[in-house]
Amino acid sequence: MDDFENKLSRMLEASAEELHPSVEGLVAEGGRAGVRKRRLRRGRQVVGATLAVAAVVAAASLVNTGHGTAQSAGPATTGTASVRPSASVTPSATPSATASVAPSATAEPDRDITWQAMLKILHDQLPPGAKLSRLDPYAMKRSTYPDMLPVVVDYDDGNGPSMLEVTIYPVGQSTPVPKVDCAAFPGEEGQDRGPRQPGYEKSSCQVTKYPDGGWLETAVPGTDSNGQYAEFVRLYRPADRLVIGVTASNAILETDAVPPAGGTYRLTRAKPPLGLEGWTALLKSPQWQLKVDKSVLDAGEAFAATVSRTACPENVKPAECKID
Amino acid sequence: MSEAPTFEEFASSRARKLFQVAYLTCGDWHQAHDLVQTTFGNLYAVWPRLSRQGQIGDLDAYARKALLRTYLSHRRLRRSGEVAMGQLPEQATGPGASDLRLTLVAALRQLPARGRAVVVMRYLEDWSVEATAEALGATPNAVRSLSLRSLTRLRELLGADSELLLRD
Repeated sequence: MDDFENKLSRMLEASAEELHPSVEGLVAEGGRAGVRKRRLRRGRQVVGATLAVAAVVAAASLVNTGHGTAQSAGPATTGTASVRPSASVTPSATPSATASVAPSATAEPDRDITWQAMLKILHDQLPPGAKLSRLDPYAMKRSTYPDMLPVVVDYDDGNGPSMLEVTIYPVGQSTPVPKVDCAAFPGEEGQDRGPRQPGYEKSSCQVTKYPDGGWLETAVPGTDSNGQYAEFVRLYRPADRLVIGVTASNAILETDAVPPAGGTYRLTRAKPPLGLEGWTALLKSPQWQLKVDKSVLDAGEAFAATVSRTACPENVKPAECKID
Repeated sequence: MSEAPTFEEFASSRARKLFQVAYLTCGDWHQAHDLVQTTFGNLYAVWPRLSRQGQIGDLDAYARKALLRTYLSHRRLRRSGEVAMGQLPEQATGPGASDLRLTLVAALRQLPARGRAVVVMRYLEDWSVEATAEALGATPNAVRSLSLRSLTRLRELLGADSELLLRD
């Protein structure tokens, strides 16, 4: 260690010594977050098992009562995968039959959205010809908060792939409503740390507040040391207390990197696809809901199976990449 | 043979140290709270497994690794998934900030996220290049290179002030 390194160590130690956080608060809040995580895991397992049993019972009851259509009678022997939602049940079917199969067409969706459904909704909102690939299970598994559902995937509009991160989460449970402003902009966020190439988007930040208390945040920060940057758009809908955001980069993670800690980016284009207005329109789609119909989940499952995935990093346990 | 600590015992004994690492890495009092809480949340969720597998002895390294990765994950998701409450700059520094801390944190903020993490792990936590590389999921060469670049930048930013600041 040279003289400066010794000084740096002493400065870090002296600064650290000044810090006296509330240990009780950290432990209590950390424990509560852990409990929520455990409950979520167990909850998903229980819900999955319950739905499977309910669907089999429902299908069987249709056969027994004779109210099922040709489509709905079939699943009695095949389980959940083939049980169709109410669209396949005739309007004249008795209430008991329709209720036992699935909610009617006008019933409120009651299934939690999944990342697979998010992926399908994302794809449906993108311009025709959109190609999604290299879904990143490792990045998705490590969502920052228990209730946050992320999709991390590369999107190619024909002009080069872009790494996308779409997140959706409810506020008021484990997460507060974010407070957004551009007060710190341009500051650190807006400054370039690396090269800016021709065609790059100018850094910017804007927050639009709506009368209902909702807001829209759009930002383009400065480049990082490699010239990578991204478009960020985030929307808060107070009516259903939902926050949805997208990050679209002008780069992708290299396949041989360990994302995100050791990940290195490869620049793929001057500007991310769609642009801030395009992403704003996409996020404002009513398709984004925390609760959806089973048909949406099914379509998501089918679509997700067609999207390639990045390999789990070598120094990571396979469980850390398990998202199914 | 000593008995394995409970989660509360472990967390209570490590909270301040982890907070120090988190704060100097991210430079924000509230985000540091958030990072440590998230790290503890992750630890709590896997505590039974760690206990069963007798991995309690490795928890210090595990916790720091989890903290670093949470921090880097925050950085990636911080726009689309950020939930940290907005705050004024003076609130972000936390109470009783000295000139030394303010200057140091401001200088660290000029580094990229991984550069800050490397500096804190190497020069506060005294971790080896190899251990830092393992925690970050990077190669030792990448850590050496990042460390060198970060030191060069910090020398530029702090070089003239470091002696004076340490005397105060």
